[in-house]
Amino acid sequence: MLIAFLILIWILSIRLISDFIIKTSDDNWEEISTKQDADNLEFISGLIKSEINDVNNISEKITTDTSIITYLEETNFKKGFETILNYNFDDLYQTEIYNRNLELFTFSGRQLQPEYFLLQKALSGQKFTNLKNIGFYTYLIIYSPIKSENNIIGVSLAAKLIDIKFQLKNQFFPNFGITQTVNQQKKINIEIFNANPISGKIEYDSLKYFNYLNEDIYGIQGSLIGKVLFTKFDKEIYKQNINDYSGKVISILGVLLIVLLIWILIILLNKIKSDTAKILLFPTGLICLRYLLLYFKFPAATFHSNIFSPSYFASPFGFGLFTSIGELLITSLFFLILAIYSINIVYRNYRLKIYKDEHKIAISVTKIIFSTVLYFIFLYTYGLILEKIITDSNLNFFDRANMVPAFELFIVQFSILIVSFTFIILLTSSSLYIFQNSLRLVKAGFYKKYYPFIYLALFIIINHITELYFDDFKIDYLLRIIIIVSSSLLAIYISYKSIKIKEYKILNLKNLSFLILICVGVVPFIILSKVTSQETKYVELIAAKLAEDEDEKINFIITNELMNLSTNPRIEKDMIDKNLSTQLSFYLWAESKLNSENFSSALIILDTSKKVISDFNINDSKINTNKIVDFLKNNFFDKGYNVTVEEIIKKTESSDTSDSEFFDIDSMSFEETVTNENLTNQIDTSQYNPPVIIDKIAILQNPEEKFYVGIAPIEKLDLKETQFAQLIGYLVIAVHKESKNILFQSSAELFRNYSQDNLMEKLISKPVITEYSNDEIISSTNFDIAKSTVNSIEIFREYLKNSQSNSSWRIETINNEKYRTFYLFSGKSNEGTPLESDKIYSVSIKRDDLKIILFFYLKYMLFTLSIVVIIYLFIALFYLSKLNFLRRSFRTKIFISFFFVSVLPIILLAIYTRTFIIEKNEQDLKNQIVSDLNLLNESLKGINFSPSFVANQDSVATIKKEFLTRNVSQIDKNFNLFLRNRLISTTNEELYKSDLLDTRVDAEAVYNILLQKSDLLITNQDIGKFSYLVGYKPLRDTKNNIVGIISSQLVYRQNEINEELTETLTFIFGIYLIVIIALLIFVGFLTDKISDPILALKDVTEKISKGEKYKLLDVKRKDELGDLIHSFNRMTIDLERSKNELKKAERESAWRDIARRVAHEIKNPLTPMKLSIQFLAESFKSGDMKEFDENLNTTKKLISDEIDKLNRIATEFSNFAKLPKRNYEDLFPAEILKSVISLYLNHPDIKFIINIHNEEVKIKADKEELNRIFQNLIKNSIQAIIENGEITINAFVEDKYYIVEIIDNGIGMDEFTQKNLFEPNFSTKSSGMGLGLAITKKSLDDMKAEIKYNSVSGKGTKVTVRFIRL
Amino acid sequence: MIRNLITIFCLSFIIFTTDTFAKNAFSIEKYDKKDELKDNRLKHSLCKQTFKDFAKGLSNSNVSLITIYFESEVYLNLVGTEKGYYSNSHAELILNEFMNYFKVFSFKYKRSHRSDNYAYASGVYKYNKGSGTVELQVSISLKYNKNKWYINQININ
Repeated sequence: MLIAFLILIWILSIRLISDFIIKTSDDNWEEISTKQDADNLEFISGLIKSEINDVNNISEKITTDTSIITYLEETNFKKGFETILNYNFDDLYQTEIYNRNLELFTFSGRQLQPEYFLLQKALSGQKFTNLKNIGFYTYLIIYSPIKSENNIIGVSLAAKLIDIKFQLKNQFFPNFGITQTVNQQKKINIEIFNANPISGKIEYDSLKYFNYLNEDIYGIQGSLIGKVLFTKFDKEIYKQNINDYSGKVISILGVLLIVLLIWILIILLNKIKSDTAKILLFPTGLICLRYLLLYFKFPAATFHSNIFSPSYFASPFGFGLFTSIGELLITSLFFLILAIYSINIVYRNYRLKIYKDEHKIAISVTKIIFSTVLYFIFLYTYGLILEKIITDSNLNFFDRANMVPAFELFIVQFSILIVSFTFIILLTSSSLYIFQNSLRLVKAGFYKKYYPFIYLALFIIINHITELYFDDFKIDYLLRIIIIVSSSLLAIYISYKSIKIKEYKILNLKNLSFLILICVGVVPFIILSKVTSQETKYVELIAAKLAEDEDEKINFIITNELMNLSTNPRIEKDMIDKNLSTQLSFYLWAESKLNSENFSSALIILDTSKKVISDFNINDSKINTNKIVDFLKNNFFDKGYNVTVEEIIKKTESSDTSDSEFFDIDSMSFEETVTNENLTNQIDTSQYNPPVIIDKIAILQNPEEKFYVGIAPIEKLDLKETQFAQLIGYLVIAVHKESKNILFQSSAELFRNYSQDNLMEKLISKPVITEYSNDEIISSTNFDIAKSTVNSIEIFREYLKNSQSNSSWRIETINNEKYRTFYLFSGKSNEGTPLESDKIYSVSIKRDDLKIILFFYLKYMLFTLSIVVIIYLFIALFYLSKLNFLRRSFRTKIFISFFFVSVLPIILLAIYTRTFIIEKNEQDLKNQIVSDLNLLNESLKGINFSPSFVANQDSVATIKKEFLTRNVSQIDKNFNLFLRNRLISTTNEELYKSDLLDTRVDAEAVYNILLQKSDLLITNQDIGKFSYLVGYKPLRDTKNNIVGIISSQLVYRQNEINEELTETLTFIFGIYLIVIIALLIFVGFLTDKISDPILALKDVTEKISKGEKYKLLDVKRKDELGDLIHSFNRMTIDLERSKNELKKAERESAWRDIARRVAHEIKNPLTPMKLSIQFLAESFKSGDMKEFDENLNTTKKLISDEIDKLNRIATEFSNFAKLPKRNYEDLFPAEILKSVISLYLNHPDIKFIINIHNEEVKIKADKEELNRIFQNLIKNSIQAIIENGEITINAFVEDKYYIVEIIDNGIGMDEFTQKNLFEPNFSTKSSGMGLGLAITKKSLDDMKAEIKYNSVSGKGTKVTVRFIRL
Repeated sequence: MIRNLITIFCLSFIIFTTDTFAKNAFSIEKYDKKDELKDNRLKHSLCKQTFKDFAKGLSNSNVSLITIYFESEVYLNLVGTEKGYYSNSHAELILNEFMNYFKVFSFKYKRSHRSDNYAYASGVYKYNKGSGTVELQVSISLKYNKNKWYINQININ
């Protein structure tokens, strides 16, 4: 308690200290901030320096490589490429080598577009560094001359990608770049600006960065290459950091406090005797501690990880227990501890009271009813928790692309496993509790024998009743039955085992395995049913989104984005820079809301003469840039319309300039709304309308091509709203009205971060989405399926006539498979009969698809069993480390042998199959690429690739699509044509305009196709972490000369490919796993079958050797083992008979011996008695009365003594022979031993050393008998001692025995004596019958104790007695 | 005399019926328009109230003012969170976390638009970062369903 108090004080003091530090920081702020700024600068400089060193190493490597020098001199391109490619540089590194004529000799990686004068500078012998932005990438480049014997023969460029502008970081380059690193570690913003290579000037907006610190960046040779700007260390951030840090420390201290409280709780629980109190106190305490842990925000405050944010999962259920996946995991572990504790208590109670004769019926019945109610509450809660996990999470439980789940999904699935485990344990312990109480109800008959099954039937009936009256029990009826049956059967099994085996431990591996099997069998189906039940909701949502009349939304988005983007300062800067203008449109598109909407959209920048400077569209097949521009020219500019900057000037004179950018929602008037509506109504879908101009924005519609286009002027920002306002271009945004990206996802998939949401992930299988008008299919994701549903449209229309609703579900069979289809009518149903021209949307999903169910089940099973195997391995390692490795039981050895023989080959086969499937998959993909390339080749045959034609081609900025015909231009494939290593044409320009791919052909392709003259190259390429397959083929002219390279990339299909592979592997591994489990069960069964009789033989043999009671073994087998058992039984019977005969003979011999001895002992006193009487008679006869008197006295004494002797002999004999009536009871042997010792403690010549432990241990014995035993043993020790006697008495517990040792330093015993010690009338003493130890042995045998003597003649004796303790 | 009386009577009858009919016709027309206008005004004010509550919720970091307009699913696209559909309770916690992390400095609307069943608005959300503020673009779309406006989408990035 003191420690807990101290910790609390500590926590308080940390809070006070941090507040104090924050308060005093105001005074010392200058010092603190200067120091921190210096630290930050050092960190940033360090980062940049290390990058420079890195690149310099590469540069050195290249320039000193003699083979490169040689090949450069020889102009051996092939070898040059080979050498560079053999370096195998990471994707971050790019290299280029130029010859002395500054012609490109070899390269690897992306193109660096070096300035000519810089190459010349390097050729003149200077080595220098350059920072360069190429599109979104920032490179650090080192130019270095290549020398051969002091002559400069070329120039090498070594570059490293050090930063990426924000758009690309998310999926492809997560957490990459210097700015990202600094931001994360130092929590400051930085910007890197490069120096102009000609002027050396560094340009940036000083007004924007006025409160930034700056530092120059120097390259090698000390030249200025750029500047880094970073935010000053902020006071608020400093305070926040202190609070964060103190929060971390407090949370750790909080954990210590909680650990202490747990310890106190355990002590308290140990002191409480009542199990009911324990069962109430422990959960309450544990839950309080859990909330305390939440209060201290551990581990969320200590480890700032994504798993403690609500992004992936959060539910208000539990008042904070489930606010993230991290908290879910911790809570589930707490629940598990609770469940294990409760089942231990219940089970212990069950074992203790199982035979007790308590007959309190009323209490028992109450307890049974209470437990039954609790049982169903547990069942309900379990379903509720699982439902919350599924519905309140953003995770894809049906991730078909990856076999190994993502980390967040792994945590959630693991938590689900723990929760399931917990609740099955709770259900089992409730069942056990019910069984324990129901035992007292009826004592005999059918009930007593079958009462667990009666309760099982009762649970099933109650379950059925709840199904009738309770709508939502959270778990499906059938699954509930399975859970009830399996948990009850487990409880029945445990109760059966606990009766059969005395020391049965409930938490053993077998029971653990049963629990896991139940979880594996049930949990995937519960998850599946929960996810499936959500499908209805999401299918309706998809249909609603499709049917949404989105004209308003499109107009709003276009207007909004034009207003936002047209004032972006980047446009003005990048428009004029040819290097940057290509990516400008993509940059603006990615920054706008266009990327997050499900439309096909395009963004175009025009100059003042309406020429395209830059453009980007997500789906070129739907909205083509040329079409948009032509449409604008013909219907806007040529018709005399324009958007200029002059309009805004007129407005500025009259309007209020203060805060006019913002809009007060209160001022939104009804009239204005009407006006807006009128505006919208003007945009009639059926015919062309004049443009709508609002402010400086104009919006037009193209009803034929079905897109909206908006245009806004771009003006010089510093002259904005002045009389010198200057137009510099136009910003155009186009949105395709009817192209819903739900339907066509291919190109949008790659730009996942930019366009698609998680709607499709909520569905188990891919839906078939179809759009109908006039009962005809306009578009569909699967025309084959869609054709089969056309007939249903008529039925749906009939339904609409008679119904208020405009939607309906229908189950139909399509191509022998069952589908659930949701039909939605996009018009307004309360406006009378729906017109045929109105659109109908249908979304169909497969119903009860066995393949999907099996896939999911196998995937979950693989996951669960992998976890279980890892846990079992740890347990096995733990036990192996404790035990002697070789001392494993026979059963274990057989099991392991069988395991290796049967299961290991399966595992090897599974590994081989996986490799085979992956290779086959890759081969199939390669074949597909080859056939695609052949197709592409065929389509290009008509074009004459003459040298002049080739020379006239430009870069990707002016793609000529017509080279690649529609036959090959499929949505999910990307085809490219390279001439002179440059991209001339592509079917997917968005890949290049977004800067994801380089417009220069890959170095590997140049080497293999152009130089090695290979006919085909298929290789993996990467965009950051995203890997995809690409194939290259040479393009030949009519004379079979290679004029270029064509390529086919599966970049859009990569996800689908991964999904197919994952599905196949899951099925294969799942089936193998099922086979392995079946084998394990079979092997276990076989092991038992083989080892059981042998172990039974072993048990019986042990019992025989100990002299215990045993039963003959049942013989059911007819094999060698059966024969062995037969022989054993026969041998046992013979042995028993011989033993009995021997006993009888020994008894007879012993009795003869005794009789002889007794006769001898009786005779001994008789002789002197006879002689004395004879002597007396003679003395009487002699007449000497004096002599007679003397003789009489002598004779009297002699006779008396002899009679006493005879009496003693008779008593001893009687003691030995008689069978005293014993009274066995539970005794404390330590107590009796102590009392016996106390009788002898004062012995003058003997020192007693007493070590009596475990005084609380009890044994079953007769008190008097035990007393006699101890007395006998101690007396013997005393009698054995001659001088300087020492007797040590030890008493302690060892395993299940209570051991008493009496060690003396007496004369000891020889071997012969030790051998006959317990024989009746064997004695080393002069007096006595020699029956003491025989009696002692007999008494100990009767109480199933053991006695052992260890003695060394002349040194001493140690006697050890082992009692069986209670 | 009788003829005149009959003539006057007929004329009166004609005038009276015509007038009554005309009056009724006019008032039906007036009634329909009035009702429609009233419904529209109510719809408009409900829309305004929804936007106002949303703005108030953001400005005061009070999630409960916003979540009352959530249906069972809502689309969120917040900075730092994966965009997509979330259950209303999950969305509430995410929005709460967002407001706790990006502590509001101010929120103002820039633009709005309403049609029969949809409404859109965009604005600027300023949050405190260190001693300064950073702006995020906000857009919200509403959907009218069963006499109530519901939040369909929230974008803040």
